[in-house]
Amino acid sequence: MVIALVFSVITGISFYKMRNYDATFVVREGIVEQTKLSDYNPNLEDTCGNADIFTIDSGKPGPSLLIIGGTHGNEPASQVAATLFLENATVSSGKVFILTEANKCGLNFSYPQEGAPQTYHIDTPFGEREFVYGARATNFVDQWPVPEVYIHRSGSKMSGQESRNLNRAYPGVIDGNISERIAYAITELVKQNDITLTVDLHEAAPEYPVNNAIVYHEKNSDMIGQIVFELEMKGVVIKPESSPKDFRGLTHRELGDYTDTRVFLAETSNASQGRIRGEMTEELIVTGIDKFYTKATELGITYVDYDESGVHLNERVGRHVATIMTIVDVYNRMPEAEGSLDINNMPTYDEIITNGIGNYLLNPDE
Amino acid sequence: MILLIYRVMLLAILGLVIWNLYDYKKKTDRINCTIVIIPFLLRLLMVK
Repeated sequence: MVIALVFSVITGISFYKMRNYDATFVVREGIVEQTKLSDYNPNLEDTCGNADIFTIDSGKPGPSLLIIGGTHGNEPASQVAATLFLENATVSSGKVFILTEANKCGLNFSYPQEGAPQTYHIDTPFGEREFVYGARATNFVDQWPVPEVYIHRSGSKMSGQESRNLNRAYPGVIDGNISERIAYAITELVKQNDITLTVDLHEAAPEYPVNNAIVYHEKNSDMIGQIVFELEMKGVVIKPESSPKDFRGLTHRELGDYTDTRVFLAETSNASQGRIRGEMTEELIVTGIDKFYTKATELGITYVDYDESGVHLNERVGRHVATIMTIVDVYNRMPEAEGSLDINNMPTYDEIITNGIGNYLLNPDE
Repeated sequence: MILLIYRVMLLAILGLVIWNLYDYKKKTDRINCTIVIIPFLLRLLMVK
């Protein structure tokens, strides 16, 4: 019993620290406003789901954009790309809303038996910047019990585990489980602010077909061709995928159906969340180098090519940033656009690859 | 309310495992119980 207590204390301290982690984002004074998801769903007050909403408002009328990062805690490019916007972007016309940690309840733990590091580090000119590596789903501790079958409010039936997946919970339920409450708040954020464009950032295992892809709601069919073309001109090859009508609960389906926003979901390739990977290390999260994925590519069973150089976080974040900027550019030229959304000071895809994401992260200690 | 029920169930199971820990004679069974206690204890305290 004494041995059990000793081990519980040692492991408990480590898990407790992660459960109560304090993210270090740099909020530029006078540029970024900070609100909470509980402003849109009071049932998130005093829960892990009460994430920050960052707003960069030009003060001039124009289209608006919502960037959703951190829906899944084990998809780091999503969170880092949103952070890059938070810490660099200036807006001269229109308004940008940023969620860097859409599901904080998925960032306060990691899956048992995966051997995942709790954090990963990005090299910057001022030293290393730490980010938390979480899990795809909401913490069991915060959302229990898990049903055998999850019945989405549309009546669509899914695996019970999907009840803890924020990206199966849209448009959400005001007093539902915690994932549904977060989804409800994000849907209300879009509705109440009449947000023009929404981009939900994700990553996928290399063996998953929807990879290096952009999923779009059918009402964006008039934009997608131009977006793909312009991204290819920037060196970002991306696959367009239409949002399936029967696949319920996802942003690209429900926000498109329930709100007026034009919604897209972007996917990059992340070896650390794949099933074929070898040792789970911080290096794998950042560099994407894994000999088993190199072999898998040789065997033709991945949807993204992995050679010995892997798929670095720089490239994955660069793709997300380029995708968002291209969507905004294309929308600004649409006949329906009233004014334009002008986002400045963001690095290009090539600049991120050349200089590394660390050069665009701010020092939290300054 | 459901959280309370969950924790009561955890406490009950944890109690039974601790009972077994002192009941078992074999060292390997005791080690097994010790390992089982750790996650139950952490979950009861809502840590992991």
